[in-house]
This record gives sequence, C-alpha cells and structure tokens, in this order.
Amino acid sequence: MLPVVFLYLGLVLAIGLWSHRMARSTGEDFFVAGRTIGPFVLLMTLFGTHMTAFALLGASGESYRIGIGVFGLMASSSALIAPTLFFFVGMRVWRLGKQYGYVTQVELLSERFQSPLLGLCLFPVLAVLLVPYLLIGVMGGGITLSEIGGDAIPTWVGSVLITAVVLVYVCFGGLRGTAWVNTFQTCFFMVIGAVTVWLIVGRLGGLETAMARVAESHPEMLVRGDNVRPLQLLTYLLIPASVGMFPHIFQHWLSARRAATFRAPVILYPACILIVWLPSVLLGVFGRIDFPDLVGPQANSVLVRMIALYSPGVLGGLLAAGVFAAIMSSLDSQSLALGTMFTRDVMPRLLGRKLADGEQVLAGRLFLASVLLLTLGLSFVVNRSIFGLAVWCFTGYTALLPILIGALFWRRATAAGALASLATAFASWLYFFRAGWGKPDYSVLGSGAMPVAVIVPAAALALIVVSLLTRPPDTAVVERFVGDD
Amino acid sequence: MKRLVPLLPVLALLVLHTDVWLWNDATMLWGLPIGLSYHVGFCVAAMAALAILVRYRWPRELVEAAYEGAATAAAEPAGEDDGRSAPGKG
Repeated sequence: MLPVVFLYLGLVLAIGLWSHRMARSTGEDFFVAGRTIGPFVLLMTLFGTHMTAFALLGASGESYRIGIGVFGLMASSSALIAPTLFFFVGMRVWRLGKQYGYVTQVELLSERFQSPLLGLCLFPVLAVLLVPYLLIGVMGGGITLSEIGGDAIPTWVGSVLITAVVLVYVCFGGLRGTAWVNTFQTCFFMVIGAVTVWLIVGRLGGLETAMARVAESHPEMLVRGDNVRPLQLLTYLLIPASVGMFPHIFQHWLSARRAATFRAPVILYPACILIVWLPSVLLGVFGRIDFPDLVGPQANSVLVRMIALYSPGVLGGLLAAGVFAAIMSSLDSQSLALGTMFTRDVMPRLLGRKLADGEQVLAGRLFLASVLLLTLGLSFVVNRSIFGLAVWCFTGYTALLPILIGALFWRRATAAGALASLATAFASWLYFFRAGWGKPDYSVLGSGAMPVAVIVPAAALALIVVSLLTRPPDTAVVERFVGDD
Repeated sequence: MKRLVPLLPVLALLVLHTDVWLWNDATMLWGLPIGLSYHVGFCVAAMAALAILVRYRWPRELVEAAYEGAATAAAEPAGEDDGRSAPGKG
C-alpha cells in the first residue's frame, strides 16, 4: 500500500515543480497565475478545492449514520448553489479583479466601501475561519494513513507527509502549480471513487442485491424518515453558499483567463458532485450490511473497512492516495489563500508601503510556509473534536456573504452597513456556536432549522437597515462595482 | 422581465429541492431508493438549469467592462468575450 501512496505523492510533486517552469516572478503570477487559467483547469481546481476529504470519508460515515438523506443535504444542494454563485458572484469578482487588479476579498471590499476599517475587521475573521479547515486537512491525512495502514503507521507520519508535499509544490508553483496539481488530484479522486464503488457493489452481488440486503436489515437507511427533518433539508441549502466567501475559491475565480472560462465550471459542476458523492453515499449505506454496529467516530472509517474487506492491497493504497488527493487539493489552496491575505492585506499596513513584485512572491512563500508548519504543529496538540468545526466554518463564511452580495449588487450598501452586518454575523454565530458546540444534531429551538438560517437573515437585515440609515456611498466608486447587469 | 426568465429554472429547483412528498417512500427507481434517485435527477436538472442561465443570461456588459482599462489590458483583446480569443497561457 505504501509504495502506491509514495508513487502518487511523487507524481504530485513532479507536476507542481514542472509548473514552476512556466512561472514569472510577479505577485500576480504567483497569487492568481497571471489570470491565465483555462476552463477545464478552473473546473477541476474549483471542485477539488471545494471538496475536502469530507466528500470521501465524512460523507460515507454520515450516510452510514443517517442513510441516503445525506445526498440531498450536502450534495444536490451544493450542485445548485455553488455554480449559481460562480455565475452571479464569481464572474463579477473576476471582472473587478481583471479591471482593477484585486487579489483578495479584503482589497475588493475595502475599496468598494472606501473603508480600511472594514478590511481590518474582515481579515481576522476570514483568516480564523480558515484555520480549522487547514487543521482538518493535515490531521485527516495522518488519520487516513494510520487507519488504512492498520494503525502500524503513527498519525504524525501522514500529517508530515501531506504538509511537506503541499509546502513544496505551492511554494514553487504558486496558484499555477496549485491549479495544475489540483486538476490531476481531482481527476484522480473522482476515478478512484467510481472504481471503488463499482468493485465493491460487484462483490456485494450487484446494486439491486445490495439494496435488498440493506432494505431487509436497515430499511430506515433507504428513506429520510426521522433521520433528516424537512426544515433541516431546506435550511441546509444555505450551507453551500459559503463558497461565495471562501478566500481560496475567491482566489481561483480571479485566476480565470476570461469570462468564457466560467461556462464549463458553471454547467458541469453538478456532474462532478454526482460523480464523487453518489459512490460515497452508497458505500456508506452498504457498510450497514457487513459492519452494522459502528458507533460514533467509528462510522467515518466505514469506507476504509469496506475496502479492507472487499479489495485490500493495491486498491487500499489507491484509496489512501485518493483521500490524500482530496485533502491536498483543498489544503494547498487554503494555505496559499492565507499566505496571500497576509502578504497583500497585512504586510503593506505593517510596512507602510506596497511591496514590489519580488518582495510579494518572497513574502507569499514565507507566509504560506509558516502557515503550513504552524498548522502541522497545532495538529499534534489539537484533538479530533476539531472535525466538528467544519460545519461551523461553513456557517461563518455564509454569514459574511450578505456583505459581498451588497457590495456587488446594491448601490445603497454603505461601509457602516457592512460593518454592522459583520458585527451581527459574528455575534449571532458566536451565540449559536456556544449553544450548539458538541451537539451534532443541534438545531434552532429543536426545529430542525440550521443556525445559518437565522444568522444570514440577521446579517442581511443589519446591512440593509444600517445602510439605509447612513449617508449613501460615493456614486463614482459604486458604479465601478455594481454596474448595469 | 425578459432577463428574469432564464432564472426561473434555478428558482424552481430551489423550491423542488425539499422533496417532502418522497420523505418516507421506499420505492426503488433506477436501482436506487426514490429519495436518492430524485436528488440524482435533481443534479442533472441543475446542469440543464445552469446551461440555460449561461446561454440566455450571459452578462455581456460585464464581460465588455472587464476589458476597459483592465490591469492586464496589454495581453488581452478588447470587446465582447466570445471564447474565441486565447490570450496568455494556461
């Protein structure tokens, strides 16, 4: 198994290092690949960045726990919401980046609202929400290798491996290297997912036989029933809206070569979701046949257990590589985004001047290396409960979306309104986090509604009310951002 | 109003996502429980709705604006982006 994993990591490194040959030593080239990424690479890198190891391991574990309802909750909602946001928000952001040279959300929003204070407040929120995400990736690599290797491999080995590989290819290749490696990795984990389900379902006697066996022993897995509540499904539609505020997705939008580049990602995104999530959900449900008694975190290893039972050996190695692919394709973009934010949003303030191109690239490399090494260090001391933070991170990013939507679509949105929205989102997120942390089935007043369904309207209302109560923004500035479309 | 029509399929899908009418239905369709095959079909329908959006609500004004005074104007063509030009490398 290990040789397969090492072979895969070697391939990833080779692609990352090869992309370095195409690089130019400018900040724009390092942070947004000189805005030259084409449609296929943009589709694969957006998808790979969005999908973490959760899509492979977490989804099968959650399906094992609550059945087929997981697909509607997390997959089909993303299939509609994410590409719709790419179309309406991503293309506008791309246009502004192309026209005015923006690279980070803080740059764009500070200028739209003519408010350095907003940028100052927004930066730590965006950065802090990203840290658990990075930790989940680094820890996920260690846990996966350890579980697939039968606990013979300590968890720190996988964490160190994953961090080292990402560190090298992102430092060398910047966003171009990240995008190319992501394209390879996304194709890899999509194929591995499909092959895995095909092999296992075949060995279970075919799809119909496997379904009949589940229907016989665990019929509740094949309906939503009491496992998912209608209000939960409805409000879950807001969770994937977090892609609109992910710093790493934002950065990939800016890398598009031209507007037409967005066509393929917008139309084909749901197909990618289907290819990855359907096998994960099916394998999670079929796990009930052979492993009916997994409890708690054990459920997340159902996919690994199925592989070990039905297709050990090379497929186990390929699966480990597939999970690594899913993790690294997110980890690279997230660490680069954090490095970019430090370089572009913090350094100029600290130094009191803009950085030259060479300085930007150097600072970017130093920051992202520091971020990754710090994350690796944290992964040794933080416990696994950090995984529960994922949905809270999504909620936090979605809560910030009204600010971006207001900036791009509403002429009357003001800096005070944006600050009020940020404060409301932060306060209400904190309130629900304190109430719901450690309770996996927490919902607002036990109704089934996700906290995001309260936080987002509250943040949007604060934006609207305070904007209307304050002086309208400068028309000339607003026209640049809102436009006619 | 004409600009809103291509949005209707997306809005309809938003409403249709919460399929309460299939909540406890264990019928099998395409080899899958109907609650799952519905959402598989939903993904395919989402592709169609997004294709309509791209085809009929393509933001031409936005695209043209991108080339006016663009930071990287030297390497880019002016005018409408029809996907034929291939500036830069990728």
